[in-house]
Amino acid sequence: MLEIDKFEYADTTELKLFGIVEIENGDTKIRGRNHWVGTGLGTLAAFIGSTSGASVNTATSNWYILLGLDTTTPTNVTMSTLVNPIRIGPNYKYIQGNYYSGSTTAVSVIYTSVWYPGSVSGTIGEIGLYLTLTGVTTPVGNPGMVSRLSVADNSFTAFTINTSLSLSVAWNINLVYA
Amino acid sequence: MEEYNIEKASVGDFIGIRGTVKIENGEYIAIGRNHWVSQGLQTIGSYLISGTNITAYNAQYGGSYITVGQVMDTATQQWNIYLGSDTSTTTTVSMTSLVSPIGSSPGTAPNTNSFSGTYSATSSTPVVLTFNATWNAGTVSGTLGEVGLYLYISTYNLGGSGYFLGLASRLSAADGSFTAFTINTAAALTVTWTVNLVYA
Repeated sequence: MLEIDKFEYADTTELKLFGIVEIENGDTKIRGRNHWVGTGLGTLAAFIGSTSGASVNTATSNWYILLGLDTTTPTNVTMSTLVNPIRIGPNYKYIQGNYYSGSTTAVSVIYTSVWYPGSVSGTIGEIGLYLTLTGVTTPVGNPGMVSRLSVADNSFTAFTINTSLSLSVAWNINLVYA
Repeated sequence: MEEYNIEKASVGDFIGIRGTVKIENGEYIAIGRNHWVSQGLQTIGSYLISGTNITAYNAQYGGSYITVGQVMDTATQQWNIYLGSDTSTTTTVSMTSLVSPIGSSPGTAPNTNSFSGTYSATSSTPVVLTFNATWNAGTVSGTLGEVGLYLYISTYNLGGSGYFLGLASRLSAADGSFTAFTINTAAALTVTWTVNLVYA
């Protein structure tokens, strides 16, 4: 696991949610922190507020990761999409959840997407995680961006995709006691 | 090229989930911070692993499945607040119920409860979820030393496979979160449990 290993049991009065994004494309290996946007926070709140248990529905249509080209626009909480998305879905994706019990109880959910060689090209400056949204008071329903990793936030350095190799993105969301 | 930028945390990198509990009983007023237990953490995690086309099991509809994503479900059957008398047991993450509930387990239900939620993407406190419960005068008695927020817990694929009403968070005198007191049975007792989601 990534950052989970660095968290120590401290205080159960608060839960903390954070995401680490890993990108690999040949020799390019990047790891950075995501930035949450309002729809992500709102839909998470709606789930807690709905006070209903969610069944596990891991259908791949419920979420996706998009790549984008923008390198100049920092993330702000009102963003709902990437600034300049490359509208090419990955060739392969899967989701995995882990739960760690005990004094360092934590949840880790990893969303992984892989684009095969040649299926996507360009200079990557932003990446977005899209989940199926719900709202605290306003229904939404369709997948929307909940979190973003961007060059403009200094989360990583823009890179040009090596089209002779696969590109993979692993988005690791962790929920821990703060 | 290898980059590791995870040490550069900034505002917006985290979402903090915090709970504050207010207890009112006649002249007695207490405010304290809750402690989350693992069931609370699991059920939030189950949202993430769902990926997340949320299909919720709603007992209100006789066991049929509904899609919560379309509407805020505030059915009172899906959550509750219970009281307890324990004053010596500190909260641990593995707790699944109050230590010594007032009334038959999980406890005497409040006479009324209500829920409200507000959201503003640009506010410094973007999300405020408020769970409110009131016991009429004389319906509960004894020493109040612990209070529990029960949510509809999902553990599927995160250490379990069930859905049930369970303890998600606890406020206790043993944690130093408030001072235990004897309930004034001549006055109503109100618990207001506020959960805030903030950028951190």
